[in-house]
Amino acid sequence: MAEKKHNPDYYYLNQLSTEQLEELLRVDSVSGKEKNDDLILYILEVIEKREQTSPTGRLPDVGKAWAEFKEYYAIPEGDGLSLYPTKREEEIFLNAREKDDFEVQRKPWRFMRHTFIAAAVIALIILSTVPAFGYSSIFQLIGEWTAEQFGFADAPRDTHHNSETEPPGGKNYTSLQDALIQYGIAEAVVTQSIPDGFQLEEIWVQEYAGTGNIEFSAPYAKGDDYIIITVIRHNGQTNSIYEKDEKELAHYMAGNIEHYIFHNNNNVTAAWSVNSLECSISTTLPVDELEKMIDSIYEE
Amino acid sequence: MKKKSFLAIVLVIICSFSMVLPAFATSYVPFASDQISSYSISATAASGGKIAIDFSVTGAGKMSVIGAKSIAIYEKIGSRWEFAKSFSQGDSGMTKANAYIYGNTIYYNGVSGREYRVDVTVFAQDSTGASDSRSKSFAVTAI
Repeated sequence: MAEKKHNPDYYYLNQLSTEQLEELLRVDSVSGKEKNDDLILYILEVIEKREQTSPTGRLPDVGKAWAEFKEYYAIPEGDGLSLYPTKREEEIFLNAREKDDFEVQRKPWRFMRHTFIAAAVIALIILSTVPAFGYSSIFQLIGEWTAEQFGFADAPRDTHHNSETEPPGGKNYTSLQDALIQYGIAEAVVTQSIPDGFQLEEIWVQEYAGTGNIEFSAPYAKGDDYIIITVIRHNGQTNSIYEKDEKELAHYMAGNIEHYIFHNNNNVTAAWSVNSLECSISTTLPVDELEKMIDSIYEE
Repeated sequence: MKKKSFLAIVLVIICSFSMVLPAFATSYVPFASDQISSYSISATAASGGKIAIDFSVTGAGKMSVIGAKSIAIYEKIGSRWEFAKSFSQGDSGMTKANAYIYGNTIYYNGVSGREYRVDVTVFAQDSTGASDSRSKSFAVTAI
């Protein structure tokens, strides 16, 4: 089933906990500002998907609720009565109970406090992560994912390399690191430790005329197992889509860089971004072996 | 009152999801793939009326065939899209055999100022013959 196209600005919401998302809904409902229906629907979809994957009972049982409504409220004795107090009843009620009136007055402040806390938490997350990656926009550093796909938001245009000095494609390279160096790429993105027994199959370099991107890849094999290391130097917008299954995506920090680890049926992929480089390792090996390969990238 | 009505709307939406989504769940097919690990497709206007179609597919292991299955280009004539040209997997530069990854740029010679729709399908087929594919469409005005 094709999924509804969402505003990419909302993908970061996938990274918030369900409690944080509910808090955002609460804050939005009491803010008094014009409602952002797309945002609300996106949050509800995220919560719904999580509930489907791991039911917590958070969502109401509609059948049960309807049965209770019919049993306790939709009864002959209730004919002509309202479930909610009318304005007149509300006035009488409030006049009679000054204490409750005080509580009602306090609620806006409580909601304001929640708003400030939520805003402060979000601002802290943004401010503490954006500068570390040197990106001009928060959406350039955040991976976007759904239950079935992963990708990066727009990568910054590469401004560090002079294309006139670059070698043409089709050249033979001794290693992936060698290919990257010949293209003037100095960032640490290649694993220094490949598990025993894996043999390098080829060094594959492809320059794409349309986007200006360059893709470097090094597949290794050992029997039915494989490791594919890929580096894409972006010259503009990134458009890679990684397949993933419904297993929870994991975050792995190494070298002060966030790596996104996710499964795609029988293989697991780690994807991360460094400046204008989009990097990934896909393998049939277990996650701990993948993490060892990631760690080796940043070893001195 | 505004708050109550909004909360009512939210509850109705939640209830609606609760009732509707289980029905979808039975037919919901995740995009995880046994043959494709990742892919990218793009179509951009190059100089001289050319349209550059970039594609790349990384297999979930070594694939017997991997690359672009088809590229179909339609030109906008009035309010209709009319077929202009197609490339199939047997054409040069579209696929590679016994590979983990393949990608290329395929050009179409258009006419500056005209609008084209480009439909691209990439695929990967493993040694058992099982294959999987992904498609994207683009609207490009030649320059």
